Amino acid sequence: MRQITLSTAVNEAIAEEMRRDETIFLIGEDVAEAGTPFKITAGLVEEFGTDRVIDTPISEPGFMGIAVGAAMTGSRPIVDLMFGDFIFLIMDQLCNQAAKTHYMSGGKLNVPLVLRTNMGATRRSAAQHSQSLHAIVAHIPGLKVAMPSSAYEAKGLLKTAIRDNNPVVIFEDKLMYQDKADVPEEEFLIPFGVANEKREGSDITLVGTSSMVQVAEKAAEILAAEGISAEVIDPRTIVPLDMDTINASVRKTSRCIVIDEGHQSFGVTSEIASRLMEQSFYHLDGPVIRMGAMDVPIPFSPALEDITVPTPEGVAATARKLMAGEMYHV
Amino acid sequence: MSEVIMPALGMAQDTGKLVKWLKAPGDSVATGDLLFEVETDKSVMEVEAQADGFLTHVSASDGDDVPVGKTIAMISATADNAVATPVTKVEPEQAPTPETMPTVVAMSSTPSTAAALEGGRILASPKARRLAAEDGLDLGQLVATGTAMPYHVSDLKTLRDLPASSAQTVVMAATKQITARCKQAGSRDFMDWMKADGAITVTPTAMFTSFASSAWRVATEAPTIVVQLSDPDGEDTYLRNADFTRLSVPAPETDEDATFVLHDLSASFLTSLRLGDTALPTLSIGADGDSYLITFEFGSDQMSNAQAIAFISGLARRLADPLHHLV
Amino acid sequence: MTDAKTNTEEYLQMYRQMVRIRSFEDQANQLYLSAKMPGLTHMYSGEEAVAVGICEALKVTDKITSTHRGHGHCVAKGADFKQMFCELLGKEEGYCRGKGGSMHIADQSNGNLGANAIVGGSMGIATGSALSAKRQGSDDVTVCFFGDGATAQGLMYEVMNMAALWSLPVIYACENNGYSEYTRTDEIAAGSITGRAEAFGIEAFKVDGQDVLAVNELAQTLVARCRKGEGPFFIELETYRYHGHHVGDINREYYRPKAEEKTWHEGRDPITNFGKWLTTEGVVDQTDLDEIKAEIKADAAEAVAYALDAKYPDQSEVNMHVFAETP
Repeated sequence: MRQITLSTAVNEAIAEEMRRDETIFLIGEDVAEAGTPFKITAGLVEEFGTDRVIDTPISEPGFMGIAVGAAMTGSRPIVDLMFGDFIFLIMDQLCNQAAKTHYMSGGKLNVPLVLRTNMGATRRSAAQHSQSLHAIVAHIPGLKVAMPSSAYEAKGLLKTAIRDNNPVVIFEDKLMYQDKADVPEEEFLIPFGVANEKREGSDITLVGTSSMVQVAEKAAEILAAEGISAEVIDPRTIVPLDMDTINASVRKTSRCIVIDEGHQSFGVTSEIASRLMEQSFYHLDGPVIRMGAMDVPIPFSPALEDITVPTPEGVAATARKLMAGEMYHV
Repeated sequence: MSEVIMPALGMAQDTGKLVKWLKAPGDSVATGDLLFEVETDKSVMEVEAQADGFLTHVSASDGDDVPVGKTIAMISATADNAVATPVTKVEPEQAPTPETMPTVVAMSSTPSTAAALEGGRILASPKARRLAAEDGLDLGQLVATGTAMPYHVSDLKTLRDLPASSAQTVVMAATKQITARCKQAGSRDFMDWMKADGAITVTPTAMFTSFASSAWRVATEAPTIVVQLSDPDGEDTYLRNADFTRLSVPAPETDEDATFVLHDLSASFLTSLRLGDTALPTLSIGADGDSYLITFEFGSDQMSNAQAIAFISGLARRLADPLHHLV
Repeated sequence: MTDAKTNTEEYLQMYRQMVRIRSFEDQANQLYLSAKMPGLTHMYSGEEAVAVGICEALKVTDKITSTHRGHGHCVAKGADFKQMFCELLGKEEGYCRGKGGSMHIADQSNGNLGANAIVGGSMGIATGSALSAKRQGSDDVTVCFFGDGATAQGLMYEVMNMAALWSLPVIYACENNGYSEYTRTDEIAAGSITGRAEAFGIEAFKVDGQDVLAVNELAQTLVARCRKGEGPFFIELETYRYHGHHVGDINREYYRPKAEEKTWHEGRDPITNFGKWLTTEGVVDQTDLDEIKAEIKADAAEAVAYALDAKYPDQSEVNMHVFAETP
């Protein structure tokens, strides 16, 4: 099977969908000739023209609002938001307008829009260009949230997002754009709300999102050498969230660590841990542990930035403690 | 006829105070004329007439607090219908009580495997507790073995490996006894008073059942109390939450399991039963001279010493002075 | 007044629509005052010529976006009384099945993309709608209604910039009623309002918002030019809202003098003045106008009664429409 980068996978998904459906257009900063600073949309304006690959001024609320209006009137925009941190700039249009329009209109108006943005720290971009803010939008009813963990997921989830009649926010990890994975040539879609078991195990479940899936897989390797068998689950989308798969895994292993790059407090790890506590309480042989990014603004210095996010060694250490029954406060 | 209403004037107001009528019943009014003054939380405002005609059927007077939206007068097109009615006081309607959100009852995870050991709880994972319960294992025995808490599933292996005699599901604890004594006078006076004052006959049995249930509730905080009232001649009756029913009414019978057994010996020659039969906590009340003799037997696996003492003390207090406890 | 149309039908249609808006708002205000309407609403009374003058220049497929003061636009774009009142009361037959309410009322079949509770919140939507029309090759125009207060929102400048860059068929219609909530416009908007659009190279016009014929003439011209790709355009309409910012804003002398309100009511009422023009020009006589008013008033009363009686949505609807179905 061929291997392509996440960047190429995203490019292919957009191009294929735009060929299939002429109501789709791409809008954002530097998406045309420049192909975005991450070079993801290179070549699209040459194929589809400036009518369908639209460069905007630096007006995030403005072009997000325009995308919402276009989506309400027969278009299917893909909005490129250069950094996930800029979600704060567009919150009204995303959360007050896009998320609620279908509901507030009693089902009469749709907003079939995709917001593509990114997440992930350790790039030395400091606090305002390194955040992972998916939990904030997942909290708003009416928005779907996808988190691809590799080039394969990036293509399959993006195509599903584009075809979905709802506003979907898809977070790509900006450090993974050049990472390769097996991606089929033939068309494929990954459905929302279906988690993926990436590695089978029996002693402990590691639930990871986005690049934390790779962190979990590496931790599983470390643990395997010590005789601990870890199972790795990738939810792929957090709204909708496939708790059936996660519950089944935790009921099998009876222990769980949830790993996510959002801040540890009030985030995805808390949500999944709470649901496990509610739904699989009597199957837990230890508390469900959350491992998120530290609750600090992301520091610039490499010496500091790298310790704010979960690492394979950190996950393995936590897993050992859980296995030994050392994880409690009396 | 058109209605004159107390208008909604502010965001947080349910009622408006009618300060003063500016027109009298029977007066002719035109649209836009000032009809009355209303006090809002900010100031006094004038309300205009919305129709032409004659003011009539005035049902609120100066100084009344009127619910917003309520009709307080009418404007009649013709003078004939205008009635200079005497102003009747408007009773402010009770604000409808907001429907309380049903409180979410916290699911209490009280697995009943482990004995309630004095001075400490057993810390164990939910899965360990469940498996122990399913397999009839007693986590209390792990405490005895000195295994460090909290217990996990792996510790159940220790339990299973214990020598057979200690791996009993129920620890046969020695029966404990508490006795108490109180004067009958208080109870007799009470029963006499009930008869005289309310023509209600209260039997000693009813009193014992009710007071014992009440004292049990306070001592153990049990939400449901079923008293197995022993009848040597016939079938025992099972009475539910006898402390919730008035003494004049028999307590409801139930087929639920009993919380404790009550022997009313007061009409017999027996004063006390100490039979060592501790399948259930057992209470007997007998008459001894001018006192009641209260005997209580219980097993250490049924309740703590502190609870038992609190129960019997509470029962004795109630029997000694029922009026004080009922009022 | 300019002689903009020669067709009696069209004049009467405009007159009717303005009276319909006024009647609707009168009823809505009564619903609030008699505490029958949940929440708050914002009255358009006094601004009728703005919505009607513009919407009468549009066809059904043209789009509008509206504001929190949106009943006028909704009626002007062809909405039906019953469904509007039902929406204000949260009933199932409302335009949004009761889920939007006054501030989010939308009438998709008539091209009304919705009122918006966020000041300036629909400017992006209007501009996006124009982008869709251009991309789809239709000659549909979008009108974005907003108030003078919304000129304080950054979004307006962002979308006007892009509309100008991409020549989008959108008309930004600023209803300048002199007040931004409880503050005078000259205290919240520096410089010139039309100047803001001109800074982007957008042609901007000022018109007397109380003169329905002048508004309509200007709108017709600009809509025609938009259809030819000459947009966007900006109009500032000078108008006045008779009521407070919202229905509960009754004690408002502290920010707006009663004398000023009186001047606008008596001298610049759009319905009265257009009526005078119609009778003076011999288009109709006063009895015709009175008949129209009476008929519409009755219509509105009937619609309110219907809505008050109509059923609420079933509780199961609370979970519906969070997400749209994707086949």
